[in-house]
Amino acid sequence: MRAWLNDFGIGVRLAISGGRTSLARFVLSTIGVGLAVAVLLLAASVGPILDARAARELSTAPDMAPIAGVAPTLQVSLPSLADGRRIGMVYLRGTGANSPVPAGIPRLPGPGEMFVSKALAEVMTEPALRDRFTERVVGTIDHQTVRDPQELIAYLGSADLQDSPALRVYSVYKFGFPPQDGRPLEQDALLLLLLGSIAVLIPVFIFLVSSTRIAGIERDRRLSALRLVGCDNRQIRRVAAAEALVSSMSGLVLGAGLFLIGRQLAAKVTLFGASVYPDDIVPVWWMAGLVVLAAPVLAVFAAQFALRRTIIEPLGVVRHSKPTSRRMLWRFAVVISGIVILGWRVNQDATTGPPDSAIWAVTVAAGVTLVLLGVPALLPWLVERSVSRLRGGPTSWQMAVRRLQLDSGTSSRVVSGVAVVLAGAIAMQATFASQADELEITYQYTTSYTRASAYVLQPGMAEAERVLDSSPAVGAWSLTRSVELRIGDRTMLAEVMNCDLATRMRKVPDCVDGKVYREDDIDLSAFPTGSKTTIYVPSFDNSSGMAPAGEWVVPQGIVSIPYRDGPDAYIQAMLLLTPGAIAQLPPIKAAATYTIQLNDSVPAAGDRLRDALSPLSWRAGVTTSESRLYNSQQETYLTIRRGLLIGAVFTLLLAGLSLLVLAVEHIRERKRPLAVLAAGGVPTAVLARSLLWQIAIPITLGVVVAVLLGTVLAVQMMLVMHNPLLIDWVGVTTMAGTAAALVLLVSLLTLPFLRSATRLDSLRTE
Amino acid sequence: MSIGHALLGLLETGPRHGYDLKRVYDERFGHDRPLAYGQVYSTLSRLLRNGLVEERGVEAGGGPERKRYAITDAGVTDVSEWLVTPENPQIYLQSALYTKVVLALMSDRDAEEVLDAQRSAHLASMRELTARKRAGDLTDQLICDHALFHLEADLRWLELTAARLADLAKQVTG
Amino acid sequence: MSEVLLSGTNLGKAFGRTAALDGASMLVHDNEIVAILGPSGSGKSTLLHCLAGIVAPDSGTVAFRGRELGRMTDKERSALRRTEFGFVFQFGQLVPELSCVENVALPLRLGGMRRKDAEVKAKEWMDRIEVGHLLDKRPGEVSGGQSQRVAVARALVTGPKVVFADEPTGALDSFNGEQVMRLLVDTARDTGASIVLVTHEARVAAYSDREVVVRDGKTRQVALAH
Repeated sequence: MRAWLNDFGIGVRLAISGGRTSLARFVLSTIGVGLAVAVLLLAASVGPILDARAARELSTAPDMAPIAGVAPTLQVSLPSLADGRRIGMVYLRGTGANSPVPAGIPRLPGPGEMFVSKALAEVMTEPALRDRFTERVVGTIDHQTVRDPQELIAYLGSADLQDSPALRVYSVYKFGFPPQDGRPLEQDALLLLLLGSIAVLIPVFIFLVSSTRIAGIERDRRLSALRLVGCDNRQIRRVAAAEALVSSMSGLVLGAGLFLIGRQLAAKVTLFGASVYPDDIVPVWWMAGLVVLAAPVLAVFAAQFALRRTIIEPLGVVRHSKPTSRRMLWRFAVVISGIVILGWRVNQDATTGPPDSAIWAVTVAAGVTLVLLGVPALLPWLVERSVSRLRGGPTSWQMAVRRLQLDSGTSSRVVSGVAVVLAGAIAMQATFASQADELEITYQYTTSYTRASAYVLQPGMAEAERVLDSSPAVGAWSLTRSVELRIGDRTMLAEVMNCDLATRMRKVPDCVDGKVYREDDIDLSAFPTGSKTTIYVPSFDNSSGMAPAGEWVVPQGIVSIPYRDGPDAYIQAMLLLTPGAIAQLPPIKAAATYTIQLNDSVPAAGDRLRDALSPLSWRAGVTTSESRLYNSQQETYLTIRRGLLIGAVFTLLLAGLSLLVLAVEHIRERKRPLAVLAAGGVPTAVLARSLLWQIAIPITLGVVVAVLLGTVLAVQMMLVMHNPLLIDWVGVTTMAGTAAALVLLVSLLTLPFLRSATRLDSLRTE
Repeated sequence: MSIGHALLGLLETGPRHGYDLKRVYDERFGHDRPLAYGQVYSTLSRLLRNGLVEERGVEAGGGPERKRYAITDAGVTDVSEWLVTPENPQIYLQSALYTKVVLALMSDRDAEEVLDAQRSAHLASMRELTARKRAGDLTDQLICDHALFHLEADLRWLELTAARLADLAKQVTG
Repeated sequence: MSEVLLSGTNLGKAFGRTAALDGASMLVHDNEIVAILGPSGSGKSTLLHCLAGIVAPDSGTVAFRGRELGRMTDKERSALRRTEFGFVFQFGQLVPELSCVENVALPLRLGGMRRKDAEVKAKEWMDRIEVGHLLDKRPGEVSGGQSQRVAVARALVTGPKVVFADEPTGALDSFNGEQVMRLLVDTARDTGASIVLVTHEARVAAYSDREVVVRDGKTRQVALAH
């Protein structure tokens, strides 16, 4: 036991003392492990974060079930936008003394008053928001009831909020539900979550392990010095273990520190539209315990595993100069077994239906893990095989290839981290693409703010039209009405719009009021000239949503206009009627829709239009093309997607960092030859390019493996989910491009190190 | 090695009695081989004859041991020339070179110049030996190498001395 | 005397507060072997680095065939070092992942020569430097003396006008050291290259035509000829 402690002591000393290079190595390992630990702790906190967010959301959820004796509070939520930020505007009016108050505010806001979230209070004085509110701020909403620290919410008081059929105004009898176990995720969503978490976490572990093996050659040299003074091989192993332990422990401390600091910063940072309260970021205790255990245990295992291939002899390190070439069989076995498990799952589901979710999740997770582990299993083998056949090429290429022929293991290992993320991302993208297809979520947002529509309740129409006439943000506008024209059971859609807007927006040449226009692809065979149709207009009075409102005769001389393209193209083809052509249309009863061509010479015209209409408060809502609402299922998918994107970004950063550490380490090890080459007139660019190749070759192969396995996984996922296969090749290309960009970035970052290595200092021996 | 030059060098720091000269010489350079009185006086009389030293007063009591000698201008020139004339490179020369270095330091001359001259002479010899070695057969090579290693040892001593000149100067003059 | 090839005049260079060179001057003539001697830390290597254009001196000028190195761009200096100069250092100068012949061919390939041609020429030189049997070995697999000879071959393969050798035998025993020096000097003589040799060993310096002594960053003027 004493001897053991002694060996450990030596290892500890070796790890932390021994000059600048030793210190540099120690610092690099510590940073590497620290980052990995921080990410893992963050991952362990995801559950509590989601729970806390859900609890916050629930605390203000309206309960519409009538409660006897309670005078309800009327509530309408109108999302709005300013400067690209979403503002939740909630109008409230109490109908009695005991009307319920949402959690987080002391009382209902009176007319002309409002309560705002902390984030909104901070940005309210900004020019983009200054003119938006006419109400007076009377207090801040308790942050315990705001889901997101960066969320902009306003509770606005209203004197005249009416339960209007054209608006989703709720009569709320109680706010808030007790926190409950979250609705269990749907199977498909769970699958996505599993796939994503595994894809994100595997690379973190890979990184964790490779960080503790930084500067392997140098370490072996020092261990051989120990052999010289009489350490036996077992002692060497213990010393190596202690050394690995020290950097993993310090990394653990750093990681915990980073986690605590990052936690404080979390509220300030918004990633993919989400930010988190520091108080919510608390790892699940047993997961945190696992992380704390895993870091040192993995480090020690990695150190022992690395020694397996190396014989440390007293005088210098003797390596198996020709390491037994990597076996292929077990590497493929990993992937195949993963595919088999997933395939079996598909069959089982098909024959007996999905079993209870625990078993289902475990088998699917195991399959996914095995397929993804195929990346780190296959990549070193593939790199070794490919590189050993390469000959020739320019000098920089030759240097890189030779280097990889000598030792490709380290680079492949690190690259496999990136490749796992990539494979997972490709599988997820494909899964998302088909899910999105099914849920009809389009990711193509129109970012042009050239168009807007305003939804205005009837009592506000006169004022709204005044505003539209006078606001500089408006280029052209029209009251637009969608009507159905029916003959028997045949229906034709028509849109009523004035010439001003039709000319600008639909490119109608020589528009004359009273005329009717048609699109080329419209089929009018069932509506011959002179036939009499019944007009149906939207109505809130009956369940079908449409009510008859007079008759319309198909006129002569319908003018063809070109087929629409651009953002409107997804609207189905219809007739375009100018108001004069359908004068018999009854006036609007409940709410009007105005379509507005924004004045593109006014900056942020959409926001200015919202400002101008703000005096109408709840009676008017403005939609620009980018604002849309999702249903809860869509919302779930988007949330998962967002979370996984955040995870993927973190992991890619980690991978990039470990590539950088590897390259820097490589430069440090060959400082002298590099300096001599530079002294002899070899341009730094050649050396830089050789470093680039050295990273790029394994990355390229990594991308190949990733695309391959990612696609395999995607196919499997589709089968498990019974969705049509839809691979998003654009997404795949983007991902591969991101990996390539990472290589470039890392290579760029190594340049300063290369410069300093090729400076004279490295040549000085005195 | 020339005792005459050594005595001249010692006289450069000030006139001395013959006995005094012997004592200082023995102390600094004699080590296990002290000078005989006779050798001192015969050398001094030769120097006197050549005009390199002169008598500077006799103290009461008479006798040759009571004479004081001083260096002449001609003597100073002679010492200077001697100092920068490298010794013929040969083995075991350090005693002569050492004497020169100490005397150069004592008389505030540039002792490094002494060493430079010697190094130059040594290297010249070594070049010749190297050239002979490269042209010759194995016997020549071995013989030349032997000489080369000895000369190299001298030079090593020389470099070591050069590195310690400041310390030596303190000891000699202090 | 023959033409002056390389001259350094009044060179000064400080690293931080320590002055490595403080008014050093020296000339290198055509086809001449000059040894730079001096104790450790005297500035020998820095003088060599300045002359070779690896380091820019803080003061003074270095000129190769009358062209001032300080007035060249970094690119021009690199090209000059690649084509007109060769380098041999004490140790660790071969790229460990390239084979010996690839190491020797490296300067040729960077000069734009095709791989085949470069390796043929490199092989010729390795034969000449008596390491022709090591072509496909990696630097890690050959002895110190052998790898130093490979380095000599690499320094000479481009037919440089000046070879800068900084303690080329510093890591070798006398026998291997002598061999490396013999090969270096013989081939330099044959090709008409000059050598600037930094060493602290007299026996190595004895391969030179003349020596320059550096002490405390200054070159010493040796008073006597013989």
